[in-house]
Amino acid sequence: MSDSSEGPDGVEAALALRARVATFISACPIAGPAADPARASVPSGMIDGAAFDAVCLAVLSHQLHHNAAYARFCARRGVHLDGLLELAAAQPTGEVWCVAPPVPTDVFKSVDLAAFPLTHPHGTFLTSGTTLGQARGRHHFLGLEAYEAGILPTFDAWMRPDGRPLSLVSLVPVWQENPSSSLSYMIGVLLDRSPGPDAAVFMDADGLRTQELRLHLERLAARGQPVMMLTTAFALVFLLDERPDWSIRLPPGSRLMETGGFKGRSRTLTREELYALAEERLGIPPHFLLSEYGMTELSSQLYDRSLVDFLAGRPLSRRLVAPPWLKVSVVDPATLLPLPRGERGLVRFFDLANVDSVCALQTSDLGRLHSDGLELLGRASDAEARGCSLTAEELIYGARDGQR
Amino acid sequence: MSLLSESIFPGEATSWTPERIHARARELEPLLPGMPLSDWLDCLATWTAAWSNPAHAFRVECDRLLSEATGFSLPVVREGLNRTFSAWDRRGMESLLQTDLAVSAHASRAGRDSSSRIPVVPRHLVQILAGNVPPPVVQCLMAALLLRVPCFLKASSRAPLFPRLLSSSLWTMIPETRQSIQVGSWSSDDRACTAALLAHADTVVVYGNHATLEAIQVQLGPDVRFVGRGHRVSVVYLARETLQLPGVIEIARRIAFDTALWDQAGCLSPQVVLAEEGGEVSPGELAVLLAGDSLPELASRLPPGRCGLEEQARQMQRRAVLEFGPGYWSGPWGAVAWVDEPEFVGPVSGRTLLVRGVESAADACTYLRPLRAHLQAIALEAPPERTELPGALLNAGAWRICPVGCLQSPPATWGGDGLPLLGALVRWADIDASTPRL
Repeated sequence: MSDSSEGPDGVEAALALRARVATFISACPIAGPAADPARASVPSGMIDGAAFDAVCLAVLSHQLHHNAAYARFCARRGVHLDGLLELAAAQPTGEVWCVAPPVPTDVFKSVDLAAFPLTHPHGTFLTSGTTLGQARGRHHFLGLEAYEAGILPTFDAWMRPDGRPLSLVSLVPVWQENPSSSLSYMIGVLLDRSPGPDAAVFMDADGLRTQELRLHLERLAARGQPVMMLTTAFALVFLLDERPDWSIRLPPGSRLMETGGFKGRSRTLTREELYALAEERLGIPPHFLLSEYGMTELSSQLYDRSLVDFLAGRPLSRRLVAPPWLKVSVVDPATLLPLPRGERGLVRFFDLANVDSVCALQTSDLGRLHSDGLELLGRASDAEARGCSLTAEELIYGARDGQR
Repeated sequence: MSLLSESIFPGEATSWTPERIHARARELEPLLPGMPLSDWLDCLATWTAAWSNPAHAFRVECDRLLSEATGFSLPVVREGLNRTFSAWDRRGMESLLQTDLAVSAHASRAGRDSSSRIPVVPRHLVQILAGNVPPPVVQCLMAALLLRVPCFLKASSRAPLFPRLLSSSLWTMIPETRQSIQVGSWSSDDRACTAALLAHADTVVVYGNHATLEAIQVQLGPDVRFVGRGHRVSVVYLARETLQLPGVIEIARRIAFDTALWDQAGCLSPQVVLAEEGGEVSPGELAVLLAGDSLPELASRLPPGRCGLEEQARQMQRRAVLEFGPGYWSGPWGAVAWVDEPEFVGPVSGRTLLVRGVESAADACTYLRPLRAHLQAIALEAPPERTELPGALLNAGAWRICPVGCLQSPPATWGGDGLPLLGALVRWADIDASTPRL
């Protein structure tokens, strides 16, 4: 089902708007070690509310004008292109982003939610299906300026707040080999702009090159060069399970960013079990074992605040924090109304960087919002499993002829 | 509550362990083997009659408990149990025995007649339930009772209450059943307990998804009979001749009833209405009728129940996809979506009814292709002259054709999944003519 409007003005408007959003994102201060959990909102830095509203209004107007499917979706909820400001004024906080009706993420599997004509050259990120052949969500984009603008600042604020030079070691395929993966793209930006010494990638179409990876880590450890491992949870478990006798003490300051979780076919570990395994086998202490939350349908990421908390002398809460342009709320699944802090519900996002699609997304992830961040509680069990770990799994199993 | 023992309550002093399961399984015996069948049926009919009476004291209490535990509204529980037990009167039981086993109620014991072929019932029957709606639970228990075999019935740890209510009332009204029927529940993760359960069985019935059926079957030896009853759904088919005013209004109301009962969560719940094009009322107009009148009106009499957060999330996601289709209406009563995909995409539940136009039964079978291994029944509304329809629709993979509005009221003789209820559990021994009579 393809339902985006035609017309070159949509493309030109999107280009200008993405540039505007990218500029706004680049100017946003990201909270770092000084992040104070006592702040009223999800701690993510100071943001000029009026400026944010103005950009939100522009993006929402653009999407309602050029994304016909989303416009109809909004119209059913009484949200129209003309009248956005009045609707915003009627919100409890008066904020524009609250007006945008969120689209459930499953919709991306069957509807092309693009604010530009799909006949125009564009790129598409795809979600991972839990089984081959299952419909995959499609996130279309004309350009990635807004996406890129937020990657490095957010990563540095929460993963490298100490400013230490780290060697990036990736267990995720490069984007050139996996162009439909938003995770590959994100890590590709990191590797391109801030790789550190001896950065390397050890996953490709043939699978995870475990022998080479172990040797590379041992060389870096011998030199005392701290490492930043970027991996899906599945790939990490695969590496460690393949050689149960192998372990290493990575140099102080080494850390690990894991993402994606376990998506069905691999052995499943809790996060606690995964981190205990990583600490035991890689020598990485808990405050350097960090998670990243991203979705194909999002352009921005949330990060584990534990390292920042550790450096500030605070206890590790494992809450996830978002950049200022990514609004996070938790809603009642029955009413879809926002819940008070501390109550369990479904996670919802408003990602300003989603210029070419829709900003407001409704997930099936369960969570609680706290003063210091989002506590993820897993997926609603009936929701389809999803994510990057399965991509790695398919690659690995494909390389080993399905051997488990 | 006087007819219910204390054992129905969660936290009952029945933390099952493998040792306890083994011990209990060894204790189970055939049920009243010496009692003439006719007398036994009288006993059972008295028990089912009590359950059929919504005014009976323990039925009132059970309805309330079941509504609280399952989330189904009290009117739905009441109506659903009424419908379920109405099939299990003495006549229904006699019909089932005759249909499946060619056994007359006047026989002294099931299977013992002058025929040279006799049904051999299980020595030890194990039935493993899914966390599903009540009717399959009744079916399972009735199968064991009619065959009078020792039966250990494992209830889902997510839905243990109704099996406990049934067994408790049974033990109270017919104390001898305590020697033959046991209900227990534990987590499916407790493999030791499940292994202990299976160790004694020569016949195993399992309800659940494919993974569950596979996980149990792989544990069984080659001499154990396995009957798998996977997840299924049902549909409605309307011939164009029936899509005319004013009759279509009544048809829509009957569709709404089948949809509303058990909140569309059972294998007999219709997920989609396939309406032939070319009638006076188009499929799109039928969708409007269901959404504007039939389902909302019925919701006032049979209100939707509540479901867990995970199920709400799933429905929210699936309904959102439907919202982008040709037509979509929703409210507290549920949702109706007019769809046009080439093939069935997936059930939504929560009283979310799809409506799709079709050209013919063959067109419907094409649409239902993804459901081929999961189709249970088709409710058909057609004039008598459309004699080709039942046979044509069975090509879709269904195991039952019935009138619209009767999906949720199968007779006792219906076993489901194309299998006879009792016949799937027995084997047949042939005694050659020259052999001395037993």
